[in-house]
Amino acid sequence: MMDRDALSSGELKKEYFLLKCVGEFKMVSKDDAQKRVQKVKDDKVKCANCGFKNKPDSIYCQSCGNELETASQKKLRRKHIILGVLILAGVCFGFMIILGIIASESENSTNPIIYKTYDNNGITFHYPFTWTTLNFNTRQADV
Amino acid sequence: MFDALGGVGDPASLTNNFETYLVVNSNNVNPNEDLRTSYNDMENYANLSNYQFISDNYTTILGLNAYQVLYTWTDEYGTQKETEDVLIRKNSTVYVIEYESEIQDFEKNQPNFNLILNSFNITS
Repeated sequence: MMDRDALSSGELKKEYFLLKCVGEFKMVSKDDAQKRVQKVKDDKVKCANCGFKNKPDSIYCQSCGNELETASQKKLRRKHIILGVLILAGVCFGFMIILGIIASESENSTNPIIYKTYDNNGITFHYPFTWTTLNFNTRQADV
Repeated sequence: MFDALGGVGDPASLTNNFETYLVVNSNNVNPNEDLRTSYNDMENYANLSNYQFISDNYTTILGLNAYQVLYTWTDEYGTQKETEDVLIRKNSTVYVIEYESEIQDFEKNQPNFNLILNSFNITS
């Protein structure tokens, strides 16, 4: 049964009148009444512009006229955010795997030295491609 | 008296002269003489400014007795150098591979020196 305290709540009064207007008025317990009020509060659409809480099915804000985000739009936006986060995490994960493969390959590979071969005066040896033979008495490059 | 057999250098190190280079000389020695003794007879450290011995060791290269010496010194331009001399004795001939670089570039050029040393061969 609805008691006086519950009826004195503004929200409960609105609920009471709402139920009455649609012809579904019936006496309910205090707990049920409060649950219904809370549901009405939760379902209200808050205006992103002015913060006014509009009725659940409102398209425009009753206070400022701003277009409101419907529940389906809100769900869609949440889905997009979750999808975006998942894609970003996937890209980061893939990037880390690629970096790991590159690092692993660079560790395993030896950097080959390109060389030339010196073969003169009874000795041979390889030397770096960028180096040059020299007149070792004066340490000037041979031309 | 040394016989100069060949030399290579890094042109990028060409300032006063080649700062990083390698030369190969040969010399006749007593085949029964200790390589360290042969080396000390060849090298006149008194001519090297700020000579600092670092290390030496006996080893085998190409299946022949070898001796390695590492030291630092300062050249006539005041550049601090690090040198690694490797002596390889074949019969009564000792081959001296002398790798020299500025101290700060010595480690960096070590792979190049290793390339030369590891591929070194006596064909005569």
